[in-house]
Amino acid sequence: MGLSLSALSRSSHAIAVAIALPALSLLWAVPSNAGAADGAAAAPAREYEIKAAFLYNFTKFVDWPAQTFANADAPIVIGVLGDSPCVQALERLVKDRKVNGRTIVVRRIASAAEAKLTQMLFVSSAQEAQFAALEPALQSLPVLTVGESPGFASQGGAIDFVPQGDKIRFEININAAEHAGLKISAQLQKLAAVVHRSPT
Amino acid sequence: MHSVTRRRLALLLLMVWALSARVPEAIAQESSRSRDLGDLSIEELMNESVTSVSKREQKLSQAAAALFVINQEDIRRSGALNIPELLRMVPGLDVAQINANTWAISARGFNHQFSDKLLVLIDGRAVYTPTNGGVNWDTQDVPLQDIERIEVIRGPGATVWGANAVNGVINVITRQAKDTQGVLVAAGGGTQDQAFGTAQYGGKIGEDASYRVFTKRFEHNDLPNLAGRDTNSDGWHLLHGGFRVDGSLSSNDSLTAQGDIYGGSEEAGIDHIASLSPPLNESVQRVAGLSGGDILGRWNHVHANGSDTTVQAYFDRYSRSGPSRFEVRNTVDFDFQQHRRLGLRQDLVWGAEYRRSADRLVGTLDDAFVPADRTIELFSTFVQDEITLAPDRLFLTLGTKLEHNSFTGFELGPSVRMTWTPSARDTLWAAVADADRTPGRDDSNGDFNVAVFALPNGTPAEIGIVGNPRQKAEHLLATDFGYRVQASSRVSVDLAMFYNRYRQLRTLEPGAPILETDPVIHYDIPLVYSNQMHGTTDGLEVSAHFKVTDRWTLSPGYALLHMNLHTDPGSLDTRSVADIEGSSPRHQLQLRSSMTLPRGFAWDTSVYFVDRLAAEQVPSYTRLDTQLIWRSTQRLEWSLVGQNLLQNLHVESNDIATSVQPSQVKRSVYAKFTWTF
Repeated sequence: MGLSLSALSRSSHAIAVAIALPALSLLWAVPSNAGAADGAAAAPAREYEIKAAFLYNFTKFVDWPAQTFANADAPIVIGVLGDSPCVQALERLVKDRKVNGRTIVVRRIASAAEAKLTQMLFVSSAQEAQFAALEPALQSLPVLTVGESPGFASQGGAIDFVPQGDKIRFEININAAEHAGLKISAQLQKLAAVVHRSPT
Repeated sequence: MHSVTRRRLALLLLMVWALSARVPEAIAQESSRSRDLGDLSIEELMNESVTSVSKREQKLSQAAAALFVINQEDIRRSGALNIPELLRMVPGLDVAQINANTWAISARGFNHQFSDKLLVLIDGRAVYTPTNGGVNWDTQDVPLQDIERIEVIRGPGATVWGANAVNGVINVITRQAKDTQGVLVAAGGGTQDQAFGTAQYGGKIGEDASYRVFTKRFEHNDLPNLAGRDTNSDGWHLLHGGFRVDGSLSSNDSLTAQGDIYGGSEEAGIDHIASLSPPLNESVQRVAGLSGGDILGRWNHVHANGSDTTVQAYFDRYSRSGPSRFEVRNTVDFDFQQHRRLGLRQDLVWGAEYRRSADRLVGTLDDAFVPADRTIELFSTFVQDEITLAPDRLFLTLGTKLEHNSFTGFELGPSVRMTWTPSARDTLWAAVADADRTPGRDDSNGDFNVAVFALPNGTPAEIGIVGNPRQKAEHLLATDFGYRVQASSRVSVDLAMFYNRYRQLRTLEPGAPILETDPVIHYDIPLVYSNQMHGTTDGLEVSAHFKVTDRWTLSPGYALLHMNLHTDPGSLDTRSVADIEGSSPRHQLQLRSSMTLPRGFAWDTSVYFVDRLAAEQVPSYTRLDTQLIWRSTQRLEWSLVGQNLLQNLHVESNDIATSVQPSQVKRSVYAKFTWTF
C-alpha cells in the first residue's frame, strides 16, 4: 500500500540544517551561564510539592484545641479532598517527620465523615464543588481548611494559596479559623499576603 | 518583500535572545533548591518558583496568549458527549455542526469542514491530517471522564507546536492512570445519542506504575436534512478501546505508554455527477467504514541540574472508506524536547521532531488523487526562551521554529511574547508571531469533479478542482494583546484582541476550458489551487467568571470578528473572498450558568448566540443546552441533558466546500448514569 519506510535518507540534508540552527545558537548561549545553572539547582520544584511543603509547615503554626487529639501520641491527620498530586508529595514529605512530637498522616478524603476526622483539609481547585457539599458538616469542627482557588479564604476557607508571579503566597481568613476553634500564630499571619478579618 | 521582513524578524529575535543569554548573572543562586522542600521555612517556600516540568505547562494567568482551559469539572458540568460539543464553551471558537457526525471548528475565521488553520493534538499526538488540513472529529473519541484538561490557544502557536498552528491550537491532555483508579461504568441513551456506554478499570502494577483500560461504544441517530425531512442518513457508531500506563523508573524518570483502537461506521449524503449528458447532479448516500488506532510512548527524565528531557514516539493509523474517497494513513513521529534553566532569569525549551506519514488516497465517485500513494516527511526544530526581565513582573519570550516539509520546503515560525504582571491580580500580555499553513494532499494532488451544468449552447460543462503541486504555504503575521484581571474574589475577566495579516491565502483560479470527447462532447473547466489572496482580520474575545454566590457562577463570553480579504491583482477567483468572509460569524455570544444545589444536585445551563453566515445562507441562531446532575451517593451520579431546546431544528453550517451534505441540528434529550467504585 505504498507505506514502506524506505526513503529516510532522501532528506538528510534537511535534517542537518534544521537541527543545526537551534543547536548552534544553543552552544553560543550556554557557556556564560553554565556555572549558574548547574551548581546548586535540584529537580525543579513543582507547584504541588511546594504546596505540600506549605501544608506540612502550617501544622507548626496552628494550635488545635486540646480535645482534638485522643492522646499525646495521636497523629496530625492531613486530608486531601479527591485525587490531587498533593497526596503523593505530602506522603513523601511527612515520612520520618514529626511536629510537636506527633507524626503526620496523609489521607485521601471522599466524604464528609472522613473529612471530620482530619485536622487539616486541602481542597484542590478541581474539588471546590465537592467541598461546597461537605462544608456544612465541618462547621465548628477544628479542621483547618486550605484551598487554592481565588476567593476560597474570603468564602469560609481558613487559608488560601494564591499565585503571585511564579511564586506561591497565601491568604488567611482569621474568622474562619477562629470559628473552627483554631489559633493561627501571629508569625504566620505576618507572612500572609492578606489576612481577612471581618469586624464583629 | 514579506519574506525579507520575516527573515529579518527571525534574525533579530535570535540576536536578542543570544545577547540576553550572555548577560552575566549578578545574583548568586540560592542554595535552597538542593535541600528537601520539607526543610524549608515558610519564608523560603514563598521564594520558591513554580516551575513546571514541561515548559508547555504554563500557568493560565501568566500565559502570553489567548488561552482557555477546559478542566475535568467543566467537562462533567457541560453535558457534552464528545469533544466538538465540549469546545462550544470556549469563547472565540466557532463550532458548527454540519451533520450528525461532522463538525466545522475554527478560531478567528476561516471556518469550514476542514478548517486548516487549527492544529489539534491529543496527548502530544497530532490529529490534524495532512490529507485535507483538518481534523476528523468523528474519530477523536477520547473518553471525556479521562481528560485532565483541554487547552485551547486562539492565535498562532507555530513556534512551539509547528506549522498549521495558525489561528489556534487545541491540546487535549488525558489524566494519568493513577488519577483514574478503580472501576467506572457509565451508560445512557436518548433521542439523538441513542445509546452509549463506557467501562473502565484502573489498577496498579507494583509500587510505581498504574494503568487503566477502557472500552467505549455509542450509536448516534440521523439528523433531518435542510428541508427538515428525515431522508438523510448520517447516523454514526463507533466502538473504541484503549489503555494508558504511567510508571516511574526512578524519582527522576517517568514513563507513559498509551494506545487506542477503534472501529465503526457512519453515513453521509454526498453530491455526485450522475451523468454528463444531460447534465445531472444528484445526491447519493454513502457509508464510510472508520477504523484506526495509535500507540504512543513517552519518557521524561529530570537531570540532576534541574533540566529535563522528554522523548516521545508514536504510531498512528487510520482508515476511512468514504464517503467520497478511500483513505489509509500511517504516521510515525519521533519527538525530542529539552527544557533547562539558564541562570536565574532564563527558561529555555528546545526540541526536534521527525514525522513520516504515508497514505493511499483513492477517490470512489468524483474524487481522484495523483499520485494515489504518497509519503510525506516533516523535520522540525524549535527553540524558545523565556527571559525574566524583572522578577515576578516582566517576562519576555522569544522563539522560533524551523521546519522542512515535503510540500513547501523550509518554513520559519518566529514569535516574541511579553507578559507584564503589575500586581498579583493583573496580567497584561502582547505577542507578535508568525505562522504558516502548509498545503495538504488536497491542495497539492487532488482532482475533484464538483458539478456539471449546461452551457448556453447546450454543451455540458464539468467543473473540477485541480490540485497544484507548487502550492505554497499560507502565511500569517499576528499581533495579539490581552489583559486578565482578578477584579475581586468573585469576578475575573479575560480579554484578548488580535490583528492578523495574511498573505498567500489559497484561491481557486479558473483555467482555460478543455474540450473533451469522452464519453460525450463536453468542456472541462478546471479550477486550480493557487495562493492569490491576502488580507487582514481583527477582533476580540472576552470572557468572565462571576461568582454570584458560593454556589452559583455565571460565565459570559463574547467574540467579535472582522475579515477583510482581497484577491491579489491577476487573480481570477471571484468566489473565495465572499465564501471565506461569509463562513464565520461576526458576533458570537454565550452565557453559561453553573449552579451547585443542595443534596448532591447541580444544574448547568448554556446559551449560545451565533451570528448569521452570509455565504452559507445560515441565519443567526440561539441554542440552549441544559443539564441536571444528581449525585445520589458518593459512587453514583445521574444526569439528564437537553440540547438545542429553543428550536426543534436549526442549521449551523451549509458550507459549499464541505464533502458531505449538511443536516439540521435537532432538539434532543438524553439521560446518563456514572457509577464508580
